[in-house]
Amino acid sequence: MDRSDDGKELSRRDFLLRAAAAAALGAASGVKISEVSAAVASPSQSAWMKFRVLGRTKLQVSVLGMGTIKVENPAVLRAALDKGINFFDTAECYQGGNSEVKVGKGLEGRRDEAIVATKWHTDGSTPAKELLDSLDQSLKRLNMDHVDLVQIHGAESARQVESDELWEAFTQAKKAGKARFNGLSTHGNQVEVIRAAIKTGRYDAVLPAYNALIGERVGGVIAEAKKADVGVIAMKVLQPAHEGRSTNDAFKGLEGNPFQRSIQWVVRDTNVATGIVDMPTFDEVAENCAAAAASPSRADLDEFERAVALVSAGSCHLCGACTGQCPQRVRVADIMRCRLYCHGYGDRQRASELYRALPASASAAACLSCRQCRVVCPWGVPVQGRLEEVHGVLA
Amino acid sequence: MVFSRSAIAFLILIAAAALPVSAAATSEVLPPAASVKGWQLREHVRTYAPDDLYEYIDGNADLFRSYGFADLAVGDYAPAEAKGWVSVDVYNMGTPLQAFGIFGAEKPPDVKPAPLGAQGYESNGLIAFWKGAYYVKVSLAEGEDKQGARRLAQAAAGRIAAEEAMPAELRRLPSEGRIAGSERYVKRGALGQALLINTVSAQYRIAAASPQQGDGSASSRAALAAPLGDSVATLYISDLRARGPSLATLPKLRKYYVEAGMSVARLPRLAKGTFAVRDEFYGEMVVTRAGKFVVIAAAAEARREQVADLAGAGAAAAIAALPTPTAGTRASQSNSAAAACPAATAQGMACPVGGSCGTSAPAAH
Repeated sequence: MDRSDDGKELSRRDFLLRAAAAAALGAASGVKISEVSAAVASPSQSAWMKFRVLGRTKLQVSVLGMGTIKVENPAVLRAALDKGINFFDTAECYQGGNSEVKVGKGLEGRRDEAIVATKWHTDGSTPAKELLDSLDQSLKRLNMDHVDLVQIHGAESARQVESDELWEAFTQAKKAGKARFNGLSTHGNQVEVIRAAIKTGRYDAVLPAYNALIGERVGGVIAEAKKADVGVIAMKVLQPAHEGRSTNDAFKGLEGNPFQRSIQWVVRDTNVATGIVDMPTFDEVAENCAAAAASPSRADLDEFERAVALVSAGSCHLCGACTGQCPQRVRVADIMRCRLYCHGYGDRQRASELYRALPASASAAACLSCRQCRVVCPWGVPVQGRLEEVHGVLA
Repeated sequence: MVFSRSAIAFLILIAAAALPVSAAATSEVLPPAASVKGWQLREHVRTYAPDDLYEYIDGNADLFRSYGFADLAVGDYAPAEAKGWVSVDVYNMGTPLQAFGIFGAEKPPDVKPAPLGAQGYESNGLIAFWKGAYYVKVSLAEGEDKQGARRLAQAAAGRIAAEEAMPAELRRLPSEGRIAGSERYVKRGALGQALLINTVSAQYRIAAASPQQGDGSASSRAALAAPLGDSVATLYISDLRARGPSLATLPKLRKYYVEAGMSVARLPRLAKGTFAVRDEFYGEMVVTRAGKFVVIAAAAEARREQVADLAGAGAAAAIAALPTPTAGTRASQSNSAAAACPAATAQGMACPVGGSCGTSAPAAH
C-alpha cells in the first residue's frame, strides 16, 4: 500500500490513475500541470518515489528512471517497480538486443505499471520502412505490442532532427499503435539538437546527458525544452561520481555518497522529469531509490557542487567547444584528444601516431609562432599551454 | 636471383601485412587495404578510447566499459566494383576472458555458430567473433555481399595471434552434461547481485525426475511432465578471491532472498551456509560455496536434490580447477584440511586456496 504526502494511503495504481486524471483535467481546462508533487512509497515501504509529468505526453514518470544497458536478471526490473520506478529505457543495440528481451521478461504481467522507451538508429536519411522494421524487431524482443516512447538514438545534428523521412516513421509508428510518443537521445552537440527539436514542434521528449559536471552548458536548453512542454529525460547522471572517483580525491570528506548526490543534484532540477541510471543489481536499485526519495539540503548540494568543480576544473571534457575557434585553424579538439590518450590512458605511442597524422598546418606547431591564443575553453583548460606541451611531447 | 633493395622492402611490407598481430595496436587487426581481394579500406581508420566510445555506440559504451574495454578500431571497407560498404569493428577488451564476456553478453539467443575465432556467429547483418583479447563485429547493410563480409572477418581473425581456446576460467565448470556453447562470463552483477563478480556460467542437461523421485511439489510435477533429458539447469560460479574473505557472502545473499519474500531453506548436505530458494525467474536455486567461490545452480524444472547435485559438482570442479599447490604447501596443509574439509578430502587434496569451504569447520580455514 502506498501513501500520499498527507499520509493518506493509495495504491500505486490509484495514485497513477489520479495523477493522470488530474493532468488530463488540467489539460482540458487549459491549466498547465507540469508536476505532481505527491510521493508514493513502495510496497516494501523502504523508499518513497516522486513523480513528474513528462512534458506534453502527460505521462507520470518516476523522477528516477532505470537504464537497462547492463541488466542481467529481469527480476531487478521488478524490484525497481516495487520501489516506485516506472520509467524504463532500453535500445535495440543494448547487449545486441538482449536488453530488450530482459526488459520484456522483467515487465511481463506488469506492463501497465511501466513506461517503456526504446530507440532506433538513423542518420536522418534512413527510410521510414527500415525504422519501422527496427521498431517491430524491438517489440518482438520486448514481447510487447507497443512502447510508450521511441527515440532517435544519439542525434547529433539539426538536419537529423528535422528529417521528414523520420517524421513519417514516427507518424506511422503512432498511427499503428506501436509507439505512443516520440523523442530523441543526444550525446554530442546537445544544445543545437534540442533547440532544433523544440523548433520543429514534433518531439514529445528529449534525452540529453545532464549532470553536475555539464549542468551550466546544458541547463539552459533543458529549461527551454521544459517551457516548450517537451519532456526532459536526463542520462549520464552518475558521471560526476565516476569522474571524481577516477581523477582525484575531490569527494574526500564529502558528506554523503557521491553517487547518491549525483542523482539528487539532477532530481532537484524540476526541468527534468526523470533521470535514468543504469542499475543492474538489486543493491543499486535500493541505493538509488533511496537517493531519489531523499531531500538533501541546499547546503549538501552546494558542498557537492564545490567538489564537482574540483573534478572539472582544468580538465578537458572533449566537449568540442574549442572546435573552429582558432584563427590559424589549429585542430584544438583533436590535439586535446591526443593529450588524453597520452596522459589519460598512458598510450603515448598511439597519441603520437594520431598527432603526427594531423596536417602540419593543423598541429600545435603554429602555436609556437603565434602565442596569441584566442581559444576559450568553457571548462577553464589553459589551451595554449596544453597545445604547446602536446607538441613538445608528441611531435 | 637478385632483388633490388626496393623490391626487398616491398616484399617485407607484403609479408608484414599478412602476419598475425599479437600485442600490437588494435587497428592492426583490421585487414590492410586490398589484402582481401575485391575490397578497399575507405578513408582513415577511426579509433575510440573508453571516454569517447559513446560517440560510436551511444549508451552501449557503458556495457563495454564494464567489461574492461581498452580501445576500438573501426574500418569501413567498400567493394571495388559495387556500392555500399561493410564495417569492421575491432574491440580490444584487454583480456580473452573479457572479450569472451562481452561476446556472450551481446550474442542473441539461437544464432547460427560460425567457424571464426574462438567462437563466432552470424545473424542478420552481423558476423561476430572473439579471439584472444579481441571482440570483432563485421556489420553489413541489407543486400550487401555476405561472402565478402565473411572473407573480411576471416582475414581479421587470421591477424590475431592468439590461440582459439576458451578462457581457462571455464575449467571451473564441470564438463559432464554441459551444453556446448552455453558458457558465459559476467564480470559483475550476475543474477542481479552486486556480490557476484567474475562469474562463469553454463547450462547443463539434467535427467528429468522419475515418478519415484517426485516430492509432490509444483516444481517436481513440472519436472515429471518434461520428457526425459529435457530439463536444463544453469550453473554459476563466482570467483571472489579478489574481494578477500567471503564467509559473509552466503548470509548476505540469503538475507536478500528472505527480504524479497521468497521461501528459503537450509541445505546442510553441502557447505555451511548453503541454502535453497525458489526464485521467480531462475526456478529452484541452490546457493553454496567452495573456498572463495560462490556456486549457484538453478533450474526451472527440476527437483531440489538434482539442483543441489549440480551445485555440489560445481563446487568440486571450481576447487579442482585451481592450480595445484607445490608439494611443500600441500603437505603442510593436508593434515588440518583433511579433517576439516570433507570436500577437499574427497578430492584427495588439501584446500588449495587457503580459504574456507565451510563444510564443517570454517574456523579452521
